[in-house]
Amino acid sequence: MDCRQAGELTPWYVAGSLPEGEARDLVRHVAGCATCQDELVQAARLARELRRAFAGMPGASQGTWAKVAARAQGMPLARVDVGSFLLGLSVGLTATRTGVPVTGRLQILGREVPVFEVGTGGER
Amino acid sequence: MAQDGELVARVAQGDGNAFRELYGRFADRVFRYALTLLRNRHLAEEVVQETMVAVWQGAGSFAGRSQVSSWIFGIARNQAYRLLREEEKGERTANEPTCAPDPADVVEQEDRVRDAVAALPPGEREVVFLAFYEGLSYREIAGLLGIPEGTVKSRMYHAKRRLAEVLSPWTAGRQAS
Ligand SMILES: [Zn+2]
Ligand SMILES: [Zn+2]
Repeated sequence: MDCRQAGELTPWYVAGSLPEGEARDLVRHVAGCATCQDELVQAARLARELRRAFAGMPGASQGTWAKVAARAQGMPLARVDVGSFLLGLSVGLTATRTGVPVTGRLQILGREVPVFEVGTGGER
Repeated sequence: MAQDGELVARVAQGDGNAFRELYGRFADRVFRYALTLLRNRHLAEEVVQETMVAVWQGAGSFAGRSQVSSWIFGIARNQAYRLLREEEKGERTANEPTCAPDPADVVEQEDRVRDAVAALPPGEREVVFLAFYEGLSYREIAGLLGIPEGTVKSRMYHAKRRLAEVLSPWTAGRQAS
């Protein structure tokens, strides 16, 4: 393995998804190559920063579950609006930022429709 | 805790609780993936919707050949590109007059790393997201994107170099002398 090949594998190694055989070959090269050792340290740092950055991105907005749930039940999206009343349809919903736990309660013209009756949630 | 695959099997039986659980596990991840690809919150939100509805409808056809995450991100990817094409052709009609801004939208923090990722070519930032955030292997990503493994590796190679250049004064340690 040369440095170019090692450089291609390093990010996958630090991401934790490099197959075992390739990981072994990479480590063997890196053990004897100062340049690639630096690369590995830099890649590990970058990996950590990237994971932090992606995890810090916003998530789906709170109303999305209600829309998905309603569409899964075959209701037209145009009639779904969180917390408001349109054409006799209301969607009552409490949601956390992650969408778990979510309680969906759907009423059509005053009648409770079984949507997704949810227990306590929080089983993430 | 149920495996993703068990949840999908229950969703295929019409189990709404399993669906909500699956939604909880994937909605934010799909949103972030779509946002990474499209850099458009509004479209990313729609990708989540379309993807999860497709998951509900298609759970019965999920054969368990791939990981659930690969399957769901594959759907999300198709939806993202479809919405993007429609948006570019101006075919999209504003179908949600009730769309109110999420309070979280307003206070999006600046993030140097995220900006650097956003500046990468789309094919590279997608690979970076799937590899580092989702932990997919280059093989899985190649399958998902329908491109050769070598292409995935070289995208990653270039992305990593570019990110290191942009971020090196700040990630510290190594400076070009
Ligand atoms: Zn080397
Ligand atoms: Zn909107």
